[in-house]
Amino acid sequence: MKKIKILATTLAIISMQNATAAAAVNVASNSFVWHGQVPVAVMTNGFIITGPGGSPITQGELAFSLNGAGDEGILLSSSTIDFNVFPFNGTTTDIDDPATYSYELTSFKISNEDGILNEQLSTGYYDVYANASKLNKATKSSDTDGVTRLSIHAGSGTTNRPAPGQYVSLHATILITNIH
Amino acid sequence: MCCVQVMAAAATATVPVSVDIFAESRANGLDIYAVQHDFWLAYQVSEQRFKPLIIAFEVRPLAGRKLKNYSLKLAYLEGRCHQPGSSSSFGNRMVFDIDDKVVTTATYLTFHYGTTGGLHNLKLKFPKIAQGATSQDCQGRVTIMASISI
Repeated sequence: MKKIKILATTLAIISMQNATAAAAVNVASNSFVWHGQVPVAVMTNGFIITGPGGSPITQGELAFSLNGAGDEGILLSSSTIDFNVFPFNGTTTDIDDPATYSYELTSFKISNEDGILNEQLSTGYYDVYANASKLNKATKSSDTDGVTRLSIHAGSGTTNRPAPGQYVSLHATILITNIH
Repeated sequence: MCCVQVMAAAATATVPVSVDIFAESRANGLDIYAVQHDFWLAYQVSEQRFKPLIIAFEVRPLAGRKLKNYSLKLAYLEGRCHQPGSSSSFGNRMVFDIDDKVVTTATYLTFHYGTTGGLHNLKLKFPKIAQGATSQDCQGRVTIMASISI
């Protein structure tokens, strides 16, 4: 009779251990963010902004390294993002006759890590260049009739240098005017 | 790339540049690894919606752990568009698939590691968001959660 009691006690302990194991759950998670813009419906004034040759404007890429201390990302280079302005009749882009236009930087938003875009402060790390000249907000370019090549360069500011492991997303808004 | 605006004598183009320096997140004995975490959507004028987005990720057991069956679900999702003077949410009209199986915040999908090798594709399908007289800046976030009972 005594042996039976010991066996019952042992079974109870095993049962409790199994219940504990079943309740222990390992959990991992990961987050992804996305951005996009719904463009304005093309109006009837007859022009469209596209990549060179009428192709879509492509996304650019940045290359970083780490500083000597290994605690900050240093911008090494960026690809260029090219655009041009062409006559557009609603269905066909006339790439043989590029329009004349001016451009200016109206907004430059940055997201580091959290995916939320915020306008870069004047002390920010990144500069936008067009055809190798730095763009300043509210400063209109002279009229041009060719491809404009945008790129990103490291500026003198340091407030938003990325930390290792962060994601950097830069969104520049370019206002095109004087199209003719 | 999207973002073309031509109105009267002015037009705007938003030019995104993104980069993944490096990142990895893990918790307890399980890890969800992905090369890219930040995505730029392409807008299809003909469909009046963003192109579906496919996010590749991998469920990994951490060193010293064995992984058999595990479950995936959405822990969090949101989608929102902003335009001057208004904001609208569309997260509840999105459809999410993992390997062509619909997944939500309420339902788990169970996988066998020996079959999948931990490799998955999360597909995001967007609702119609019509063009208007002003451009709309849209963004969102989705969090995937993996769990395993030991």
